[in-house]
Amino acid sequence: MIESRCYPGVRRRAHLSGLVPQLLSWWSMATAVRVAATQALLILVFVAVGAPVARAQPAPGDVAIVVRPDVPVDNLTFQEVRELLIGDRQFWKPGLRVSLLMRAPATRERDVVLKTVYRMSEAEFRRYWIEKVFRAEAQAGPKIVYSNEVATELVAAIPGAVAFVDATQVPKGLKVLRIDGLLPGDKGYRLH
Amino acid sequence: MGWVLFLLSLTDQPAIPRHPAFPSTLRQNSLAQMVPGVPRPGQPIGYQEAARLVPSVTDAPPLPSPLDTSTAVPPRQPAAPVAQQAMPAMDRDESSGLPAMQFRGFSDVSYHVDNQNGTANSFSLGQFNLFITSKLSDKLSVLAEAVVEADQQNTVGIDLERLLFRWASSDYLNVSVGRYHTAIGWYNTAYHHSSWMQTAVGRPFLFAFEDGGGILPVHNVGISLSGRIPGGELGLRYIAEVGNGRASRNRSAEAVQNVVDENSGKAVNLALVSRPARLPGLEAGVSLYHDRLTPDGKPNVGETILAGHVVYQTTQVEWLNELVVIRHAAEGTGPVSHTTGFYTQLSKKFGAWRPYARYQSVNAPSDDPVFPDVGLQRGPSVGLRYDVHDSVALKFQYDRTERRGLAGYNGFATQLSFTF
Repeated sequence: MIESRCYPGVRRRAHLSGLVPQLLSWWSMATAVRVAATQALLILVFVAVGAPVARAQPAPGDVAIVVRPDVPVDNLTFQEVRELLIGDRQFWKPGLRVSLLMRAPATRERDVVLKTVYRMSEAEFRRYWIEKVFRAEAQAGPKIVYSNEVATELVAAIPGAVAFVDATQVPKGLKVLRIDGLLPGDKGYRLH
Repeated sequence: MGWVLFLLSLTDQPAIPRHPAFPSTLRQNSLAQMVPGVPRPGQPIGYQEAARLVPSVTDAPPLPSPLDTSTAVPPRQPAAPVAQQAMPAMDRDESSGLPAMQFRGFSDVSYHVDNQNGTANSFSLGQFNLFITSKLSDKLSVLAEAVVEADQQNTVGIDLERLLFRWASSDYLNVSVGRYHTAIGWYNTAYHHSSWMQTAVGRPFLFAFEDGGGILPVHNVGISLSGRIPGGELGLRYIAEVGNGRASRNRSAEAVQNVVDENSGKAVNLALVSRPARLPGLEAGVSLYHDRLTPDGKPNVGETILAGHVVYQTTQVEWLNELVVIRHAAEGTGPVSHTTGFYTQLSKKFGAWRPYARYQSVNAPSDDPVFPDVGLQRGPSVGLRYDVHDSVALKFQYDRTERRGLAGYNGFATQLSFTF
């Protein structure tokens, strides 16, 4: 018999064989509740501050638009992407010229850009830029790069450079631009 | 705390996995291995340095001809190791340290025959156009268009048709100084001196060059400002030019005042152009040009040129429309004359073939103080362009020309035009 702590003077029979599991059960429940509450609080905090959560992996064949992090653009509408590629927009901001880097002919990334954005064949694309430069509407045409690795290296090195590369081959340190708010792998992403 | 660290580690994961063939050590050394003299990795490089590293799409080797069935398009090649890709130096002349020049040529050879009295069917050398560009920096560049051509007396001469020093630091302001094609209408600044670029054999009457009897001051020496006008879906652009204008002392003198202006008044041209983003290929614009001419033995003439254009041009379809009104007003109580000119041209591409049709007219009154002998010229042209190769076009064209006070005539021309 033990003295009841809650009801002084009342003696209760202590069932030692059931007390420990009971205590363990209470502790587990309390811990579980505490952990769950902490997780919920953390998730709310992350959502509130917009911290990046794990994004969808890019679908095979997605082409990403990559720039240096200091380029003052994070999102472009599809029309703005087209203006960029046809040379109607040649500066990110006053003093920072856009340097277009295009994959070489017969590469998938180039095919996607020509089909989706330019809507031109190879011959039409080349003629377009010859005319653009001839009309003094552009200093020069896009530069050709022969691999995604070289493209991303040059983007990292050249202020204002922009390249179109396989979305699975974007190294850390470069920024992937959104198109209409979408990243590679998002449903509805157009450069595919 | 453990849960916090676990959650934080989730957010640190790259959403896009690093490419397995792209280890950090290779990244640090790849540029230096590729091109000696490249700054240390991590340091930004200038545009000129960057231009040295890679070729431009306009410098790419010619693509296989549509007719060349013996050359297959090369299959996709796996990406070469980064260290093995040496980038040729394209934009710098190492012997002088100055930026290199990029050349492109345009030319044509024609055969023409007509039933005018006194003309003979002839083969003709077209203009040999050397188009030169050089990038001095990401803001500065030079453009030149030097043309070697023969005249109606078979004498070959050279003209510097364009020479521009250009400065641009934003999309809203580009400054060019030198000799340029005046932004009157659309055709003049679209095709310059390249017959390969234009669909038809020749330019419309309205945009004929001054030394070919043209009535517009298509060349000017001075300053040109251009740029986008921010905001709106209309895609507005402006062009503002001031220059020497055209010579008017006598018709036999050089029409373009390259060195000396015959009077202190300057020619001013303002143009406004719209390229709506939602209608790619459509462009509409207006321009207003004014100058004071001082012909020998005649009162000074105020020249005002109003031009408007609506063109729709894609890779498949082309519909060009332009209208120009030239007002010449002699100072004092002199007469005022109006010369009108217009053309409309339509073409559509069917594979390598592009049939086209044009109707054009220029009507100058006989009492015009500047070009009284132009009169009325009008008529249709129909033709067919065949792109033999990406860089070569063969054209066949029939023209019917009516003239005021003179017999009309028929003409046929074929032209081989090319770029190289």
